[in-house]
Amino acid sequence: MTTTQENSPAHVRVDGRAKVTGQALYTADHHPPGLTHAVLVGATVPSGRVTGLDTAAASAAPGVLLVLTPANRGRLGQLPDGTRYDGWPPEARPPLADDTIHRWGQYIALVVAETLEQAQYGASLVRARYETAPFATALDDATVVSRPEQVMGEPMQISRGDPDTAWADAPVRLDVTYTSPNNHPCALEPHATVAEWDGETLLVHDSTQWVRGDQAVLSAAFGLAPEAVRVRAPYVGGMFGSKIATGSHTILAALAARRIGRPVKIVLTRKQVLTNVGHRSETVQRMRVGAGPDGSLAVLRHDTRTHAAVNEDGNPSEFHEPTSTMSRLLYDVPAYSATHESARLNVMAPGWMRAPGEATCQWALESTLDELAYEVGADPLELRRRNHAGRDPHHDLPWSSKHLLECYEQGARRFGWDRRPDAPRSLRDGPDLIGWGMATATYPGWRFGATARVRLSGTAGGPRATVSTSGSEVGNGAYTMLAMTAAEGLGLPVERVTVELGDTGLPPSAQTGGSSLTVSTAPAVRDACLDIRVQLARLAGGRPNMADGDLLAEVPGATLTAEASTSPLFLRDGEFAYQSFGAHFVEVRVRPEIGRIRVSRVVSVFDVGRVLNATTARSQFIGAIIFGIGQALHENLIYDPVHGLPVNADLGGYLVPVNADVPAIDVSWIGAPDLAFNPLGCRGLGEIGITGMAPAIGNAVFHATGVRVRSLPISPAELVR
Amino acid sequence: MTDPIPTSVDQKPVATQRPPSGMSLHFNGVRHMIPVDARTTVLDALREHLQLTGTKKGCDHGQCGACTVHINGRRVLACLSLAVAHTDDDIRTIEGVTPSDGALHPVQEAFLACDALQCGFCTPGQIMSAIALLDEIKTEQGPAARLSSDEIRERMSGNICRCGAYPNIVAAVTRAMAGQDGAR
Repeated sequence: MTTTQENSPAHVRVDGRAKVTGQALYTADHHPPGLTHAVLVGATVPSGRVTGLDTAAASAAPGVLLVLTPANRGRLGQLPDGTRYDGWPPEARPPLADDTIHRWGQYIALVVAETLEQAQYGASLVRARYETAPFATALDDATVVSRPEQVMGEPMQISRGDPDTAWADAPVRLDVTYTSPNNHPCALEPHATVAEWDGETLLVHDSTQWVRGDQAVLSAAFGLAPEAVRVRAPYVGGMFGSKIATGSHTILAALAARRIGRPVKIVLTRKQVLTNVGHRSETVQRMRVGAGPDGSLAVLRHDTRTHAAVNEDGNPSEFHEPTSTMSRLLYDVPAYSATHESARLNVMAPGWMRAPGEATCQWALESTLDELAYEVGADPLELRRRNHAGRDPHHDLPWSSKHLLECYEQGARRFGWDRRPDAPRSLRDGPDLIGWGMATATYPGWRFGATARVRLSGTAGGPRATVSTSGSEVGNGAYTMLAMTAAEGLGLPVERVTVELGDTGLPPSAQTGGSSLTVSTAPAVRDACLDIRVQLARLAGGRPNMADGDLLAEVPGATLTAEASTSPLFLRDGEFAYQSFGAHFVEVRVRPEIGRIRVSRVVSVFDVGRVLNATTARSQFIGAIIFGIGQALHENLIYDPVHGLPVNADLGGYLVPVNADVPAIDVSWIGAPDLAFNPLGCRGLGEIGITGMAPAIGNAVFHATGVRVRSLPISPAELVR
Repeated sequence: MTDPIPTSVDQKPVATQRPPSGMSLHFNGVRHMIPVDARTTVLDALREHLQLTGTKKGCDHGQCGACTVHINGRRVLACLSLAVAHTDDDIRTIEGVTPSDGALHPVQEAFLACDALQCGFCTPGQIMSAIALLDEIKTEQGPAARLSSDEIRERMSGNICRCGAYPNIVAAVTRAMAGQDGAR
């Protein structure tokens, strides 16, 4: 292990060798004997019902074994509704439930065949006749608008202080509206399932960030005890929120496998990924800020409109992009209000995407604060310092640990912010306009809880440890961090620790989501290691000063086992509000004639508690920052308002950043441990990097060009008008 | 609105029987007889017929680069290549560039050392692209060729990494490029 400048340990990814050699097995790489292939058929209208489904040609095609439709699907058990956090179907309506069509691409049939080519050909032969109904895929066309009371337990219609009076009295007022389009997690590994039955037990390899969620949904769907369903996901090819809910395709793969008595593999097409697994809803956010002449905030009113799916009204765990959860607490504002409306559209139910709510909130909030800084003639960084919240103003709680001012200071220094001229269009380099912008990053502290088991065995070559928990490695570095945690806890080299993940047969863990896997599992691993040390000390009898290595040497062939758990902790308790912070400083270069925007420099500093592995932490920060570049400049999933279909549902149309879009990125962190959150002092860090990046880029674009763009992605067309 | 495609319940299946035909392909220097049909891509032949699953399918449309393999030494998207069109070609995959003695190819080594990966799904394609890239510049510019970071970014932009390992990928390619010199 090495130590970085931030005083964090660093270790090479322990699963890296398997990944660089192509030996890591992802879901679609599994090939059990007798494997068959399934392909899903989607509706080609956005609303109405199927009046005729002709499967004769498909059924007669070479190699086709089964065509599943609503007519022959059979009964499924009642799926969990997500309210107990024990499992989440992608939408309340089970797959192939009836002939109703709610959205374009909704599955209407599944074709299973001996080979992939035969299944693809069979699927192409399924013919549907539709009766269409009125539909809406644009916010302004919606006929039903909901007002969600809560999302994930957080209220969405709120007020504190006296916003009306504060607004009326404010010397400086801004009333601006920011919009963001549909974004998609679009993990590179398409969602996939390989399902096989052995009598009344089901084994599922699934591309999921929550094997136990799958287990709950599948056991409910098939009327089985949870123990009769084993779900494995030792390697997941990215997820970013889209693999929490159990996919309809997963349920259908298991159903088809049971029906034909052979294993079934489904891999979604890229288009199916983009239209069937949940996306980040578009947002329209009206921001009204009232402030004193120096920019001190007096009032903030945050009114949001997002969309939801037409068929989800009444789903108690329905997800609405919760834009106001950060604006209510990030700055010291005495008067505040937020409202939320969700227009019901004929689209897939929106789901979680990296920093759900936070990434969209920060776009509107941090851009508005930049506008306010120019309005009152303050430096944008100084304006944020003036409004710094010393405690959570909405929940009236102290922060467990907050080092945001240090992030500002360190970031400004590394970037050279003090050399920034205030006026827009004042920096040039040859033909390019240069702009410098900044924004605050923030993400709350979730801990969903986990149990970890540590086993220490004396072997001929010395002691070895095995760490086991059911959470998933999704690129977050979980294998490495847990190996390092156990190595530290037991006094072993990392190379002598094996980590087992992603299997319902292992001790239970919640999903790899909410930046919470490490904070849920690593403290449990630490506690299990402490337990083993106690067991070792007992073995040592009256020799408490005996060195650990000697103690371990005394147990050749013996195995010591301990389990420990962490409990759920969502956002705050009676004592503290748990929150991570950071600051982004961005340079852009704009070619004025064509409006081309290049991000040329990024400096980001984070306050996420103690960092357990500098190597994988840095990579996650950088990756999330790149997600923010995508949010700012590229990503836009477009539904056609006339025909109701997604028009750019592939990687040639839904643009994500490529290597040439990304500059060198300077990431650092404060590293102050948050010991109130857990004994290791770490908070999650997988998502905070995206928050604040889009506004930092937008603010830099304003500084470069003098043009304030209030809609994402920031289009070159806006800059050449 | 109804579906414009006519529907008829007694419609004859339009599929004609296509019995699987054998075809001979060279993967990683070994000749394989594979019972694939004419529709099979190099990617599906690798993954589904030979179970060489190191090469990944990210989009099946030539838009993500995850399926990059070498055909006769050049980087090619396996998902856009029909297997029947490559019966006489030398096809090399991530399994084929990994030394059999437990060591790593210098580009694999560089990816590991620079943490140029996260979830790992795009990684085999990135590495195949990077190996071919280093060969390309030697062919184009001679053995002492050097690429700037910007040139590496441009030439590696056919491989999407949604986790965003790009700066580390640039570092890994740079490291491998320097290592080539050292080895000479």
